[in-house]
Amino acid sequence: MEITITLRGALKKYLDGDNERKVIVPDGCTCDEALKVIGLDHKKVARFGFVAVNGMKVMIYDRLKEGDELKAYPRISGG
Amino acid sequence: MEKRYEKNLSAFSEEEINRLHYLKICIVGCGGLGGYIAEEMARAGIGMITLIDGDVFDESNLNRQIVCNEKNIGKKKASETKKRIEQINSEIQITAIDEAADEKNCKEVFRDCQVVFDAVDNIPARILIEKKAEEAGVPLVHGAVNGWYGQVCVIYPGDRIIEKIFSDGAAETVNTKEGDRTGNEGAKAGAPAFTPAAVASVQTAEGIKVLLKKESILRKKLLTMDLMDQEYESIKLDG
Repeated sequence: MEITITLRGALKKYLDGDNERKVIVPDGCTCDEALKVIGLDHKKVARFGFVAVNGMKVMIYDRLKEGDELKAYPRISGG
Repeated sequence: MEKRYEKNLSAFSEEEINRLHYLKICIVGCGGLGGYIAEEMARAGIGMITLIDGDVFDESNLNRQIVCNEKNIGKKKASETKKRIEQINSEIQITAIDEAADEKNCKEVFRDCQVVFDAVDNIPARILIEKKAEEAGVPLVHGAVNGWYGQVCVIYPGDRIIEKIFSDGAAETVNTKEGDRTGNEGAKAGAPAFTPAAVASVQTAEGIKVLLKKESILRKKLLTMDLMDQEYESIKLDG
Protein backbone atom coordinates (compact mmCIF):
# COMPACT_ATOMS: atom_id res chain seq x y z
CA MET A 1 0.00 0.00 0.00
CA GLU A 2 1.10 3.58 -0.52
CA ILE A 3 1.38 6.11 2.28
CA THR A 4 2.97 9.53 2.67
CA ILE A 5 5.69 10.08 5.25
CA THR A 6 6.44 13.61 6.42
CA LEU A 7 9.28 14.42 8.78
CA ARG A 8 9.34 17.57 10.87
CA GLY A 9 12.08 19.64 12.39
CA ALA A 10 15.41 17.98 13.02
CA LEU A 11 14.14 14.66 11.64
CA LYS A 12 14.05 16.05 8.09
CA LYS A 13 17.60 14.88 7.49
CA TYR A 14 16.25 11.34 7.15
CA LEU A 15 14.51 12.41 3.93
CA ASP A 16 17.60 14.17 2.65
CA GLY A 17 15.99 17.50 3.44
CA ASP A 18 12.71 16.79 1.65
CA ASN A 19 9.53 17.50 3.55
CA GLU A 20 7.65 14.38 2.53
CA ARG A 21 7.88 11.23 0.47
CA LYS A 22 5.35 8.73 -0.88
CA VAL A 23 6.46 5.20 -0.07
CA ILE A 24 5.19 1.68 -0.62
CA VAL A 25 4.93 -0.27 2.61
CA PRO A 26 3.50 -3.72 3.47
CA ASP A 27 -0.27 -3.76 3.99
CA GLY A 28 -1.17 -3.19 7.63
CA CYS A 29 2.34 -2.25 8.70
CA THR A 30 2.95 -0.18 11.80
CA CYS A 31 4.23 3.41 11.95
CA ASP A 32 7.48 2.03 13.29
CA GLU A 33 7.87 -0.34 10.34
CA ALA A 34 6.98 2.38 7.82
CA LEU A 35 9.64 4.73 9.17
CA LYS A 36 12.25 2.01 8.84
CA VAL A 37 11.48 1.94 5.09
CA ILE A 38 13.07 5.38 4.83
CA GLY A 39 15.90 4.43 7.16
CA LEU A 40 14.56 5.97 10.35
CA ASP A 41 14.70 3.60 13.31
CA HIS A 42 13.15 5.60 16.13
CA LYS A 43 14.93 3.50 18.75
CA LYS A 44 18.26 4.80 17.50
CA VAL A 45 17.28 8.47 17.40
CA ALA A 46 17.60 10.20 20.76
CA ARG A 47 15.57 13.20 19.68
CA PHE A 48 12.68 11.20 18.26
CA GLY A 49 9.42 12.49 19.67
CA PHE A 50 6.19 11.02 18.42
CA VAL A 51 4.13 10.22 15.33
CA ALA A 52 0.80 11.44 14.02
CA VAL A 53 -1.44 9.93 11.35
CA ASN A 54 -3.81 12.18 9.40
CA GLY A 55 -3.31 14.97 11.94
CA MET A 56 -3.91 12.87 15.06
CA LYS A 57 -1.18 11.75 17.43
CA VAL A 58 -0.97 7.95 17.54
CA MET A 59 1.30 5.35 19.10
CA ILE A 60 4.42 4.30 17.23
CA TYR A 61 3.19 0.70 16.98
CA ASP A 62 -0.30 1.60 15.64
CA ARG A 63 -1.12 0.20 12.20
CA LEU A 64 -1.45 2.18 9.01
CA LYS A 65 -3.86 1.91 6.10
CA GLU A 66 -3.72 2.84 2.42
CA GLY A 67 -3.34 6.56 1.80
CA ASP A 68 -2.45 7.49 5.38
CA GLU A 69 -0.29 10.53 6.03
CA LEU A 70 2.29 9.60 8.63
CA LYS A 71 4.23 12.44 10.26
CA ALA A 72 7.11 12.11 12.69
CA TYR A 73 8.15 14.89 15.06
CA PRO A 74 11.32 15.47 17.05
CA ARG A 75 11.30 15.41 20.83
CA ILE A 76 11.35 18.97 22.14
CA SER A 77 11.75 19.45 25.88
CA GLY A 78 14.07 22.40 26.43
CA GLY A 79 13.01 25.53 28.23
CA MET B 1 -7.60 52.91 33.46
CA GLU B 2 -3.90 53.53 33.81
CA LYS B 3 -2.08 54.91 30.78
CA ARG B 4 0.35 51.97 30.87
CA TYR B 5 -2.42 49.66 29.62
CA GLU B 6 -3.91 51.93 26.93
CA LYS B 7 -2.16 50.16 24.09
CA ASN B 8 -3.53 46.81 25.29
CA LEU B 9 -7.05 48.03 24.47
CA SER B 10 -6.45 46.90 20.91
CA ALA B 11 -6.58 43.32 22.23
CA PHE B 12 -8.53 43.43 25.50
CA SER B 13 -11.52 45.32 26.82
CA GLU B 14 -11.03 47.63 29.79
CA GLU B 15 -12.99 45.15 31.90
CA GLU B 16 -10.64 42.34 30.84
CA ILE B 17 -7.56 44.39 31.64
CA ASN B 18 -8.99 45.18 35.08
CA ARG B 19 -9.84 41.52 35.62
CA LEU B 20 -6.22 40.49 35.03
CA HIS B 21 -5.17 42.66 38.00
CA TYR B 22 -6.96 40.26 40.35
CA LEU B 23 -5.61 37.00 38.92
CA LYS B 24 -2.60 34.91 39.90
CA ILE B 25 -0.26 32.80 37.82
CA CYS B 26 2.71 30.59 38.52
CA ILE B 27 5.65 30.29 36.16
CA VAL B 28 7.73 27.16 36.73
CA GLY B 29 11.15 27.70 35.19
CA CYS B 30 12.71 31.16 34.80
CA GLY B 31 15.03 30.45 31.88
CA GLY B 32 14.43 30.96 28.17
CA LEU B 33 10.65 30.55 28.24
CA GLY B 34 9.88 31.68 31.76
CA GLY B 35 11.68 35.01 31.46
CA TYR B 36 9.66 36.05 28.42
CA ILE B 37 6.39 34.81 29.93
CA ALA B 38 7.01 36.82 33.10
CA GLU B 39 7.88 39.90 31.04
CA GLU B 40 4.76 39.68 28.87
CA MET B 41 2.39 38.85 31.71
CA ALA B 42 3.76 41.80 33.69
CA ARG B 43 3.19 44.16 30.79
CA ALA B 44 -0.35 42.77 30.40
CA GLY B 45 -1.01 43.68 34.04
CA ILE B 46 -1.43 40.34 35.76
CA GLY B 47 -2.02 40.81 39.48
CA MET B 48 0.18 38.18 41.09
CA ILE B 49 3.07 36.04 39.89
CA THR B 50 4.91 33.25 41.67
CA LEU B 51 8.20 32.23 40.08
CA ILE B 52 9.77 28.83 40.79
CA ASP B 53 13.34 27.98 39.76
CA GLY B 54 16.26 26.62 41.74
CA ASP B 55 18.86 27.34 39.08
CA VAL B 56 21.34 30.20 38.76
CA PHE B 57 22.23 32.17 35.64
CA ASP B 58 25.20 30.93 33.65
CA GLU B 59 27.18 32.67 30.92
CA SER B 60 25.67 30.21 28.41
CA ASN B 61 22.23 31.69 29.17
CA LEU B 62 23.16 35.12 27.77
CA ASN B 63 22.25 34.09 24.22
CA ARG B 64 18.53 33.68 24.91
CA GLN B 65 17.33 34.25 28.46
CA ILE B 66 15.97 37.79 28.62
CA VAL B 67 16.53 38.23 32.35
CA CYS B 68 20.15 37.07 32.15
CA ASN B 69 22.80 39.78 31.83
CA GLU B 70 26.52 40.11 32.46
CA LYS B 71 25.95 41.37 36.01
CA ASN B 72 23.71 38.58 37.31
CA ILE B 73 25.69 35.52 36.28
CA GLY B 74 25.68 33.13 39.23
CA LYS B 75 22.57 34.64 40.78
CA LYS B 76 19.25 32.87 41.30
CA LYS B 77 16.97 32.97 38.26
CA ALA B 78 13.68 33.31 40.15
CA SER B 79 14.87 36.21 42.31
CA GLU B 80 16.51 37.95 39.35
CA THR B 81 13.31 37.60 37.34
CA LYS B 82 11.40 39.13 40.24
CA LYS B 83 13.76 42.12 40.24
CA ARG B 84 13.28 42.70 36.52
CA ILE B 85 9.49 42.43 36.74
CA GLU B 86 9.39 44.87 39.66
CA GLN B 87 11.11 47.42 37.44
CA ILE B 88 8.50 46.92 34.71
CA ASN B 89 5.40 46.89 36.89
CA SER B 90 5.65 47.67 40.60
CA GLU B 91 1.94 46.98 41.10
CA ILE B 92 2.37 43.23 40.68
CA GLN B 93 2.71 41.04 43.76
CA ILE B 94 5.66 38.80 42.95
CA THR B 95 6.95 35.85 44.92
CA ALA B 96 10.25 34.21 43.97
CA ILE B 97 10.90 30.65 45.11
CA ASP B 98 14.58 29.89 44.55
CA GLU B 99 14.10 26.14 44.62
CA ALA B 100 13.51 23.50 41.98
CA ALA B 101 9.86 22.57 41.52
CA ASP B 102 8.91 19.71 43.80
CA GLU B 103 5.81 18.06 45.21
CA LYS B 104 5.66 20.45 48.17
CA ASN B 105 6.16 23.84 46.55
CA CYS B 106 3.97 23.00 43.55
CA LYS B 107 1.16 21.89 45.86
CA GLU B 108 1.39 25.04 47.98
CA VAL B 109 1.57 27.47 45.07
CA PHE B 110 -0.71 25.96 42.43
CA ARG B 111 -3.82 25.85 44.62
CA ASP B 112 -4.14 29.64 44.58
CA CYS B 113 -3.38 30.13 40.88
CA GLN B 114 -5.67 30.48 37.90
CA VAL B 115 -3.02 29.33 35.39
CA VAL B 116 0.35 27.57 35.67
CA PHE B 117 3.02 27.90 32.97
CA ASP B 118 5.32 24.96 32.25
CA ALA B 119 8.63 26.56 31.28
CA VAL B 120 11.05 23.95 32.59
CA ASP B 121 13.75 22.13 30.64
CA ASN B 122 13.28 18.46 31.40
CA ILE B 123 10.61 15.80 31.12
CA PRO B 124 10.47 14.56 34.74
CA ALA B 125 9.74 18.11 35.94
CA ARG B 126 7.05 18.52 33.28
CA ILE B 127 5.38 15.29 34.42
CA LEU B 128 5.46 16.50 38.04
CA ILE B 129 4.00 19.89 37.11
CA GLU B 130 1.15 18.33 35.11
CA LYS B 131 0.34 16.02 38.01
CA LYS B 132 0.34 18.80 40.60
CA ALA B 133 -1.65 21.16 38.34
CA GLU B 134 -4.27 18.46 37.91
CA GLU B 135 -4.44 17.87 41.66
CA ALA B 136 -4.87 21.60 42.20
CA GLY B 137 -7.52 21.79 39.48
CA VAL B 138 -5.65 24.51 37.58
CA PRO B 139 -5.05 24.77 33.81
CA LEU B 140 -1.47 24.39 32.61
CA VAL B 141 0.14 25.98 29.54
CA HIS B 142 2.96 23.78 28.26
CA GLY B 143 5.82 25.08 26.15
CA ALA B 144 9.14 23.60 25.01
CA VAL B 145 11.95 24.58 22.66
CA ASN B 146 14.98 23.16 20.95
CA GLY B 147 16.96 24.87 18.22
CA TRP B 148 14.59 26.31 15.63
CA TYR B 149 11.65 24.29 16.95
CA GLY B 150 9.05 24.65 19.64
CA GLN B 151 5.67 23.43 20.82
CA VAL B 152 2.77 24.70 22.91
CA CYS B 153 -0.45 23.25 24.26
CA VAL B 154 -3.07 24.03 26.89
CA ILE B 155 -3.80 21.31 29.42
CA TYR B 156 -6.86 21.22 31.64
CA PRO B 157 -7.10 18.91 34.65
CA GLY B 158 -7.71 15.38 33.42
CA ASP B 159 -6.34 15.95 29.90
CA ARG B 160 -2.94 14.41 30.77
CA ILE B 161 -1.21 15.68 27.67
CA ILE B 162 2.39 15.57 28.90
CA GLU B 163 2.01 11.81 29.28
CA LYS B 164 0.77 11.60 25.69
CA ILE B 165 3.57 13.69 24.26
CA PHE B 166 6.53 12.29 26.16
CA SER B 167 5.58 8.84 27.37
CA ASP B 168 4.27 7.00 24.35
CA GLY B 169 5.53 3.87 22.65
CA ALA B 170 8.30 5.79 20.93
CA ALA B 171 9.87 6.89 24.16
CA GLU B 172 12.30 4.10 24.77
CA THR B 173 15.65 4.85 26.33
CA VAL B 174 18.36 5.91 23.95
CA ASN B 175 21.60 7.51 25.01
CA THR B 176 23.63 9.40 22.44
CA LYS B 177 25.64 12.59 22.22
CA GLU B 178 22.34 14.28 21.37
CA GLY B 179 20.91 13.47 24.79
CA ASP B 180 18.59 10.83 26.11
CA ARG B 181 14.92 10.20 26.57
CA THR B 182 14.89 11.02 30.25
CA GLY B 183 14.94 14.69 29.45
CA ASN B 184 18.67 15.27 29.49
CA GLU B 185 19.11 17.32 26.35
CA GLY B 186 22.82 16.69 26.04
CA ALA B 187 25.53 19.05 24.86
CA LYS B 188 23.60 20.26 21.82
CA ALA B 189 20.63 21.50 23.86
CA GLY B 190 19.50 25.07 23.68
CA ALA B 191 18.09 27.57 21.26
CA PRO B 192 18.73 31.07 19.98
CA ALA B 193 16.66 33.83 21.63
CA PHE B 194 13.98 34.00 18.95
CA THR B 195 12.74 30.45 19.60
CA PRO B 196 11.88 30.82 23.30
CA ALA B 197 10.62 34.35 22.59
CA ALA B 198 8.18 33.01 19.98
CA VAL B 199 7.08 29.98 21.99
CA ALA B 200 6.73 31.96 25.24
CA SER B 201 4.63 34.55 23.42
CA VAL B 202 2.23 31.85 22.24
CA GLN B 203 2.14 30.44 25.77
CA THR B 204 1.36 33.88 27.17
CA ALA B 205 -1.42 34.49 24.64
CA GLU B 206 -2.98 31.11 25.48
CA GLY B 207 -2.56 31.70 29.20
CA ILE B 208 -4.31 35.06 29.01
CA LYS B 209 -7.16 33.48 27.04
CA VAL B 210 -7.56 30.88 29.77
CA LEU B 211 -7.53 33.59 32.42
CA LEU B 212 -10.16 35.60 30.55
CA LYS B 213 -12.33 32.51 29.91
CA LYS B 214 -11.90 32.71 26.16
CA GLU B 215 -11.84 29.58 24.03
CA SER B 216 -8.60 27.62 24.32
CA ILE B 217 -7.69 26.89 20.72
CA LEU B 218 -4.81 24.67 21.79
CA ARG B 219 -6.67 22.48 24.27
CA LYS B 220 -5.96 18.82 23.42
CA LYS B 221 -3.93 20.04 20.47
CA LEU B 222 -0.19 20.49 20.22
CA LEU B 223 0.98 23.47 18.19
CA THR B 224 4.32 22.59 16.64
CA MET B 225 6.45 25.51 15.50
CA ASP B 226 9.29 25.30 13.00
CA LEU B 227 10.95 28.70 12.73
CA MET B 228 13.43 27.50 10.13
CA ASP B 229 10.82 26.58 7.52
CA GLN B 230 8.03 28.66 9.11
CA GLU B 231 5.77 25.64 9.40
CA TYR B 232 3.14 25.70 12.11
CA GLU B 233 0.55 22.98 12.63
CA SER B 234 -1.80 21.73 15.30
CA ILE B 235 -1.88 18.01 16.03
CA LYS B 236 -4.91 16.52 17.72
CA LEU B 237 -3.90 14.74 20.89
CA ASP B 238 -7.19 13.20 21.89
CA GLY B 239 -10.02 12.03 19.64
